[in-house]
Amino acid sequence: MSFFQRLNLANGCLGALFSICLFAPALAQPRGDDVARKLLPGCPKGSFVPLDQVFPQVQPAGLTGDGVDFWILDGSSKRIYHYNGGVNTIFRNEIQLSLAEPSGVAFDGKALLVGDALTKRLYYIDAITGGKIRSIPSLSPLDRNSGVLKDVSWDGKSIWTAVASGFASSFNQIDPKDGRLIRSLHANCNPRGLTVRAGQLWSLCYNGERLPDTIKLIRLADRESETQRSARPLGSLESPQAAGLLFDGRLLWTLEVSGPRCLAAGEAADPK
Amino acid sequence: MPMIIPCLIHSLLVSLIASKPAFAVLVSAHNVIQNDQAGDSEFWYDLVEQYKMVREIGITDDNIFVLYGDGNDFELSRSEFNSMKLFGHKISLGPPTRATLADVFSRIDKLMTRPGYLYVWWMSHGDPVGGSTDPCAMVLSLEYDDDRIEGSSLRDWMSEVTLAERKDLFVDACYSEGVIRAFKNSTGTTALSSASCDTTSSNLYQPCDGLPHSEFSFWQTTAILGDYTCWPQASADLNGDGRVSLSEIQAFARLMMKYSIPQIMDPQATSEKTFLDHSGPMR
Repeated sequence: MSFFQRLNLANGCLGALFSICLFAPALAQPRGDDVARKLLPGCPKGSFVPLDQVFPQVQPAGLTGDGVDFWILDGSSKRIYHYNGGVNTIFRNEIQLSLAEPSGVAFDGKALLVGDALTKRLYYIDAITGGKIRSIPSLSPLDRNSGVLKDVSWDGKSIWTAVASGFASSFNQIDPKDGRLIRSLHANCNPRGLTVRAGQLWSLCYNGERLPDTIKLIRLADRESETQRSARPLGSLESPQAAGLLFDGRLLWTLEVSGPRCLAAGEAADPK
Repeated sequence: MPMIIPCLIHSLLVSLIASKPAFAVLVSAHNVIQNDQAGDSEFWYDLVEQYKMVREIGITDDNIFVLYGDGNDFELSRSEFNSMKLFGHKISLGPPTRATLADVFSRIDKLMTRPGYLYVWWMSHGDPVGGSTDPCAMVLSLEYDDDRIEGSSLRDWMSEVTLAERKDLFVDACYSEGVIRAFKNSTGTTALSSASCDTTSSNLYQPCDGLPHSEFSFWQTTAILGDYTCWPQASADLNGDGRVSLSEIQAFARLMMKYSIPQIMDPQATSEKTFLDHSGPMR
């Protein structure tokens, strides 16, 4: 059973209905757990985490966490905000980054991983002090250095990056030790976010000013042909500034201007 | 008056093509999964636009050979790109692989029993060759079976069509200048690419339908059909002689494209005198 099927069953929501859920224009309306819960029945209370208790808005550049704790990357201020997003959102701390163009953030259990779109490197950042620990290159061989790093994910063993570069846009699996490239996949969209877990890769795809962003799931197989054939669209999102994607093992999140938004609930499908 | 000229060109074009055998090979090597997704849907939408265009210029369905994705038409496509609704039949003969490509060109060679015309349009991913010292080294991706080919393979297959006195190739792929370089010694062939050695191909959102299309293929079909409904200020007839040559198509695409830099390989310097209405070499 696919993730999406499980998701729909878990939500008591038919596939078509689920699409409608995500297509619902009201989704673009900001905040309010009631609104989010009504439109996205798989997303429980607390599944929209408003930021305006502390800051009015951010320029979304990535998010990571476990569904309770969130690290939110604001591309405008180049700061990472740490929130506890349970029932009552609690601001923990903030980190001022000394990166040229931070884009994408992940957490490997010890440190934050932040991409720099200008230097095309990934930086390990101390989650408390914000200090740089080390950095590795962010390679994307499907483009000839013209790509723009958009997001970073940690799957428990490897780093994954999403790079936007026209039809050469790619997802890249990177060895955390030295930045060695393990594999590259054609993204077949303009990625603005990715999250990888249990052999599955979700991507958030920008789609111009007139079409909604979309969310796609692919199952990572050894052969790229199998991987691409597994691609399934999950729905659309009326939030053109959304960036970053996080699957916390239960919920799928993105970052909007006004805060983390739960997109769907479900469990990871068997990677086999 | 401006509306009359494209009509005259079109009429001339259809009548001239009808006088000589003309074949088209249309290749789109990515399997689309959804409608209206930039970076994905173009591989079907623009294939269908190409199919419509080659029909418009007089190539009959029997002479149009389509290799697409996994070999099955994208049946979930919008009605304006649904092959059954548009043409009354499926269009894809199979997935693009080395075997199917070799077979298609071999079949055309057998079918072209007198001097004629060959039109080839190719859309796929183009990947740089890692570790190469050649800044243009790249391969075309055949997604269906994880294969990759060089431009020389495409050149060799096209050369199998021995009675084609004129061959036009349009390659829509990242870094595709690396493909058309393989045609520098090809007689009777003009090859146009969507991108230079260091630029990717990309999409644009066409203002009439608001949907994603590859910008190169979009401007190419616009130039050939002379339909500027969405872009009333544009015209590929850059020298104002009422006809659109291959070199004008390339120049027009270069003028209109935002993200890529299209290139041309024109070994016999015939592109200025070659018209997709075939009033030049096809006469």
